[in-house]
Order: sequence, then structure tokens, then C-alpha cells
Amino acid sequence: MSVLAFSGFGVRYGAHTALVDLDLAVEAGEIVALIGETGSGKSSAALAALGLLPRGTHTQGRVERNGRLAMIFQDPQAALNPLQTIGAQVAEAVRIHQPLSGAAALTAAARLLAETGLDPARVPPSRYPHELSGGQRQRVCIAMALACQPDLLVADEPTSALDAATQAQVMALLVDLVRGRGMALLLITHDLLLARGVADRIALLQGGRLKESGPLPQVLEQPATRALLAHVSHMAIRNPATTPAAATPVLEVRGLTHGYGSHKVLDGIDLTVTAGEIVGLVGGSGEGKSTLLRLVLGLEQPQQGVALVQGIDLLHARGTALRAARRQVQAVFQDPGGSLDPRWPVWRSVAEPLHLLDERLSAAERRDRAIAALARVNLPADTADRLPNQFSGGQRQRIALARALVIEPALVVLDEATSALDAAVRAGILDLLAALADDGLALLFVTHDQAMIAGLADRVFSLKQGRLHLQPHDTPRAQ
Amino acid sequence: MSRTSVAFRIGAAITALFTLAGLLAQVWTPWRVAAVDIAARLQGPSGAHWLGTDQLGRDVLSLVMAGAATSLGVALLGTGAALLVGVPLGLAASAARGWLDDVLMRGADVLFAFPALLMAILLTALLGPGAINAALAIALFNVPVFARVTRGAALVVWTRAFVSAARLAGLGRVRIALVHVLPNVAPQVLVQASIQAGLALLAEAGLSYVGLGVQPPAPSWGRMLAEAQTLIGIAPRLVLVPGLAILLAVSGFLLLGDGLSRERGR
Repeated sequence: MSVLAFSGFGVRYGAHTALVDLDLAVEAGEIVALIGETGSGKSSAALAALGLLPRGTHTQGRVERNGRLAMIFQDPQAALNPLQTIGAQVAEAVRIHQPLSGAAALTAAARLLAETGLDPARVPPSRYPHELSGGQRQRVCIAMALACQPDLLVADEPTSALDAATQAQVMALLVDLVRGRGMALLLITHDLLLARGVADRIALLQGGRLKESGPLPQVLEQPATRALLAHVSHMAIRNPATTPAAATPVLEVRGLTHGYGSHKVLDGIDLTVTAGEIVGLVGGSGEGKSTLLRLVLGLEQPQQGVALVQGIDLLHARGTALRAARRQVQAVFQDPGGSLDPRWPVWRSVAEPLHLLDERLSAAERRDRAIAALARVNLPADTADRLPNQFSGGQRQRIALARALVIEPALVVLDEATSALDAAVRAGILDLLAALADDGLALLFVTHDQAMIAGLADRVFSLKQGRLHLQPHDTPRAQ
Repeated sequence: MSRTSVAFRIGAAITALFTLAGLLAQVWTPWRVAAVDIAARLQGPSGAHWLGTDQLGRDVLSLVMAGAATSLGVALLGTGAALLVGVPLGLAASAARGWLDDVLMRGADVLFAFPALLMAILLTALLGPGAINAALAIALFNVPVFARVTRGAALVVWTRAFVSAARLAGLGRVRIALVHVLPNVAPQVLVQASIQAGLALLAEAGLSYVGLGVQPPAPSWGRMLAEAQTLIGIAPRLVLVPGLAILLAVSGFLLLGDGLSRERGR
């Protein structure tokens, strides 16, 4: 019996069609992967499965559900209540579905948390979400989803916010739990390699339409799948630029030291980025990568040291000097959900930095420039008037990149700016960045994707215990 | 927009009903509001007087309609004034942080420390009774509410990445507060405003009841209650009608606020 069946199902947001005529069924105990590029309608299908489509959405056809459904979201941080212990949150989910006393529910919650691989000795249920790592948080979300004993689990990019090693662990756990309990799993991902490892059947979406669907070996033979696979192995490889000695540094960081309380996050950082150079910055979570970026961008005041953009200190410059310096540096932030004002149409967000130009532009001119910038990241002009909530995470990252490029700055700082992109789009964006660097743009790129940055950057530093370490250039390039 | 919660619809309907009644009373009431007719006093409901007459022979329906205008007017004026002052203060506190935030929020704490109605009574006692002063008193104890709600919601918005992006785009704090933060806190503030309007209505009735609200002969629900209380044994209707009007109107606003917050939660 199908636990979930779409028949002739379509989704439309205003004038934008996200999903057309989808026929797809998930049988009990089956793992189905729904794959596709950013904006192919994957998440719309997931939301529709759970009846969570935003209001004002037009739908066609039918979704039938048999049995209980639970969902695991992409961003475990946003799915958890920061003010409640993880045990209490899982217990709450337990009690919604089982008439247990508070104490019994807590015991059940502790058992579920242990089942998801959270060792009670190291991560007891009395912890709060902020005390956990991303992978541990996602495990808590999985425990919450299991608490309602679902027949079908819908997982929307459950591991894409995690680093590679954690990704594999969490995925293995998820599959074990699903198989062990005879649940069905609808796995939504842009990562074909991930899907290939776990799914019984694969359904491939492209531009809102179901392109291929069937058992694994069969789908892998299909041209559309092969095209997607081909993109995965494509990786931008750039020859390290030979930096002219006289090049003016676009960014100069001297003795930057910063900390919270007695803990020193950054301890005397020196870093220079010259025009046309791509500098990679890697490091584990909590090593201060994001703090360094905020200091470089002048968003925070360092305890010691300075960050100069083309010789100007963003924190102390005023008036025209500040405007001139601000014009030279833009950023793409990690969180694709939070980096666009939810109440602004996309073009207004993209056009925002144009405010820094000396010439005064009319609204129509600003809109035109925004559309041109969107085109550079392969987004069509009709994206301009839509609101951010109508885009996928990957599309939002591209919109944020368009905003960073719209005034043609000298330096762009990227914080995990390609993490939400799927293979095909990422390859295109990396090519674009490499081309921009060849034209003289300096890039400071924070990432945990070692293989990607090794291929792209001229220099790669790792940040450990507050200090930068230059990585040898023969870093093995993973394929 | 198509699916709205039941609470929202009921709240909106009640609020609309009283607003219309109040507006209608400005141009037409079944009887002249101040028309005293001692001969027809304390009559029960009839075709001529749907809700009967009071101890002076005035038509109760006309009084309730005119009272709606007074009560809603004072409540909305007070809430509106509090919004105009409180929201900018909260926004400024969230934008400036530091000493300005401390001063504003400790100031709000001080205002909060006084029971709202007590402070309103104190203020109207000092300034003299009357509709405008009642609205002022209501505004005064609502300012810290709006300042706090705005600040709390705004602090969250300030941490979002799009605010950082706006700073990189060269926008100043004031500009960011106006174009990014304010629109994003508006829904939350609106919900609070609806709830505060309900409480303000209650406060207005309370002030009128103790004689510090609108002065006779202008009608008011609170004073209708006060005047009728000695007659509760003879004509309980005279207490019930304004009492129910207050209850309904307050519930209307509270339901509206509740409904609005549910709308937001979707």
C-alpha cells in the first residue's frame, strides 16, 4: 500500500510554476529519493506531502497520505526550540502521540536519543540545542521525528547543512533506523551520490517535471541522470595565479585578535589578499572563521589589530572615505534563509548595495542592474519581483551572490556560499567566481569543502586555535 | 488569504459591528441620546425602545450606540498614541543598544511597576477628567508595552544576515531600522496593538465608571454601568446591557489579536 501518492500534482506560486503534473508513489517500507537541481520543485513536493505549502499557493491534482508522516528539515538549528532541553523537546513529541506521564515520556525520549547515536554519557537529554554540534542537532530532530512512530519520514536535504564526515554518519543512521522500523523514507536531495547509496528508487525532477523514475540501475542509465552525475565530477580547477609583487593588497589584516570572555577565538591573525587572488579559509566549526569574516567586513570591532580594505579601516573611516571603502567589499553569508529580507522582492535586495554608488539611480535603473546581476548567476529576470520564500536555499544563495556582485566590488567575502547549491549549479557558480578572479576580483572563501577549495584557491589557510596555517599546495584533490 | 482562522473572523466581525454602530451614532440614533423622558422611564424592551429605557427615560440602544463611539474612540486614540510613541522608542533602543537602550528599558520598567489602572486614575485625577485625558492615561501605560514588544522582536531581526548585508550596502542604522527592521516587526506589533486596544477599552470603561472618563451628558458604557448599579434589583437589564457591550467589544479585540497571531504562525 502506498503511504504517499501524488497524482497529477502541480504547485504554482503566483505566476511561477514550481511543479507540474507529478505522479509519484512511496510504498510502505521503501526508500525513495527525490533528486533534482535547485529550484526543480523538490521542496515544494516535500511541503505538499505534509500539507505545509505556504498560503496563497495554487495546487492541482491530489496528494494521498496513508498513515503517519514526520519530517526532518534541512536546518536542524531552526527546527529546535533554543529554550528547551533536547530531552524535553523529544518528550513533547512523544506525548503528542502517546498518552504517557511526563516522567515516562522523558524516559522514552532518552531512549530515542540514545537510539539516534547520542551517547547519554556525553550528550545527556538535559542539554540545550546550542550546546550541540550541527550533526548532533540533526540527530535530535531525527529522534523527534521517530517519536511519533511515523509510517513515512520525509527528509528534506537532511544532511546538506553538515560537513562531509558528519553527513555520512547521519545518513547511515537515518537509513538504519528507517530499515529497522520498516518505515518508508522520502529523501529529498540535490546530491545524486548520496541518493545512489541509499535509495531503492530514484525520482528525478527537472524544472518542476518528473524526468526519470524507477529502480536505481535503470535511472542511472538515463541521459538526464547522467548529465547530473557528470556535473558532480566537474570541479573548477584553476591554476594558482602568479601574483605580481607590486600588487596592492585589497585586504590587509594585521594582528587581528578577538575573543569572547577569556576565550581567544582569534590570536594575532595576519592575512593579505591581493587583486585577482582567491584565498580559501578552512577550519572546523567554532574555530572562528565566521568571526574573522565579520571583523574583515567591519561588522564587529576587534579587540586588537586592524583590517584594512584598500588601506581604509572600515570601522574608523567616515563619510566619503567610508563609502569608497564599503563599495570595495561585499559578502555572501552562510545562511541562505536569513540573508534576504523576507518582506522585500528579490530585486530590491539585490539592488541594495547600489546605494553606495555616487551616481543617483532611478528605481527602474536599479531594477535593471539587479536583473543584470541575477542573470550573471543564471537566474531569469522573472525572479526579480518574487519574494525570498518562493526560492530554494540554493537559489537564495545565488541571489545573495548577485547582490554581492552588483556594484562590482574589489573583494567578495564568501561564507560557505556554495553549500546549499547542487552539483550542476555549483560548478557554474565556481566557474563564474574563477572568471571574476581572472578579471581582478579578490575572493576570500570560507568553506569546509577541502576538495573544492583546493581546486579553486590560490592559497588555502586553515584556522586552528586562533591562528592561520598555510596549507601546502599539493593538497590531494578528491574526486 | 483565503483560509482565515475562526477567531480572526469572529473578532473582526465584533470589532466591525461596534465600529459601525459607533460611526452610525454620529449621524443617527433611534432616539436622541440626551432626550430625557421621565414619563417613559425604566420601560422594558418594546417596539419603540428595543433595549428599553433607563431611569431618566433615555433609549438604552441609542446610549449603547453612542457609548460605542466614546469607548472605542478613547481606546483607539490611546492605543494609537502609544503605538506612535512606543514603537519608535523600542526601535531606537534596539538600534542603539548601550546606554540609550538601558535608559529606555529601565524607564519602561518604572512605568510597568505601577498598576496600569491605578496610574490612569492618578493621571486623570491630576489632569482632570475627560475623554482626551483618559486617552492620554491609556496611552501612557501602553507606551512601555509597545516599546518592549518592538525592541524584543527587533533584536531578533538585527541579528539576521540581511541586516549585515544592508550594513555592507552602506545603509546607516536609522535607515536599516526603518526599511528592514520595522516592516519585519510590524506583524508582531500589530497583534500586540489589537490586544492592547481590548485592554484599553476595559481601562476606558473603568475610568468612566469611577467618573474620570468622559463627562455627562456624553454617553459612555462605564458610566451607564455606574449609574445603573443602584437599580440592579429593579432593572438588571440596565447593568447587563452595557456590561455585555464591554465584554463583547473587549473579546472582539482580543480574538482579533489572537487570530492575527495565528495568521502569522502559518
